[in-house]
Amino acid sequence: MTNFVLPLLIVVCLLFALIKKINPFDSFIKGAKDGLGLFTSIFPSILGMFVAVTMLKASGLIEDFGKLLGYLIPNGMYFATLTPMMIFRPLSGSASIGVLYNVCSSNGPDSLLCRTASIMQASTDTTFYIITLYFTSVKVTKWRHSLQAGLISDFIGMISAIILALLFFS
Amino acid sequence: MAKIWTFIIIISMLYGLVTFRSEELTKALLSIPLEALQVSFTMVSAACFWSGFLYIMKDSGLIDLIAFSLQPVLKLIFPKLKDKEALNYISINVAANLLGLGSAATPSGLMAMRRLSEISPRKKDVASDDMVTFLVLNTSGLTLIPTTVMAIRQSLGSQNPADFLLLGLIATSISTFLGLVFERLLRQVKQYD
Repeated sequence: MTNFVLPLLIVVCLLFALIKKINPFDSFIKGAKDGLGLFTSIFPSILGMFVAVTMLKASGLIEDFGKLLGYLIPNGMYFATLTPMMIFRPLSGSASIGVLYNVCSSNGPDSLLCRTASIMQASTDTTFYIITLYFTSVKVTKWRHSLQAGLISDFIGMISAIILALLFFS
Repeated sequence: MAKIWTFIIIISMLYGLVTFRSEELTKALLSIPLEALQVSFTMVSAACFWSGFLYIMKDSGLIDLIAFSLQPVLKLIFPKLKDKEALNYISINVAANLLGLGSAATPSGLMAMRRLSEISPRKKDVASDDMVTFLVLNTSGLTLIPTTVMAIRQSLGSQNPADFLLLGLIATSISTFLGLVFERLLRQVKQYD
């Protein structure tokens, strides 16, 4: 079912271009060129965040935390592996991508953990970053309940991701 | 974030050293640059690819059509917002977010904030109700097509990198809906303070 989405999207996109009589290839090239500039801004922060995320895993902290958690609740390892995701996701896009990559490469890209982390990454956003960026752009310093509401929504997204993944992928 | 970053690295290193994992630490350290490069490449190539299609949608007016069809829903979410210009920017921003094009969503999002600030009934340094609602809509991560996640799973050899799309959509719908509900509740509660 989900495999219909992407091909269909592209067909609709190109059909619409035909109807509107624009040159889709020229537009595509323009857009792709635009994306290329992303590298210089993305690589340094990914690299930096990888240091923290990789060390967290290599030091055994997560593993030992998982064992500790295992005494208290079932699936301790599962929740321990996802903990960095839940902490980093609202803070930094690069860091959460780093965690996602780490989880998926060490547990396999089709593992329950990787799928849960994927749903988490897809259903939430970098709340702190977005709120800071958007409010500073219009010089608003009193954010009222934005941060609370944003974080509640992130938390709900994380919980839903775990419940859905456990229901459908395990 | 800077403090957390420093703190996590120091704590991890010390913990790894104390628990005799210096070999793992060193190996992991040396693997960082190449892995970060691979992930960045994956992300940038996916971004180029999708931004190519986004430009087709932009040039053909498909984005405007999607944005226009979102307006009835947005009027429900922003019942008091009557300003056409602000609604337009918001709908383009939401449309770009839905298509998983975060970087394309930011410019229209900033324009929306500027307009919301111009028509804000409050003092300039205080967030208006509509601003808060708009930010919740943004931070809840409403996405139809998480392009980056799929690209990363594909690069690691997943059998079906898109298999989580539907569940992701359900999760993001739940979090967005409840996020907006909680925003309303918090607004009511804070008014009594």
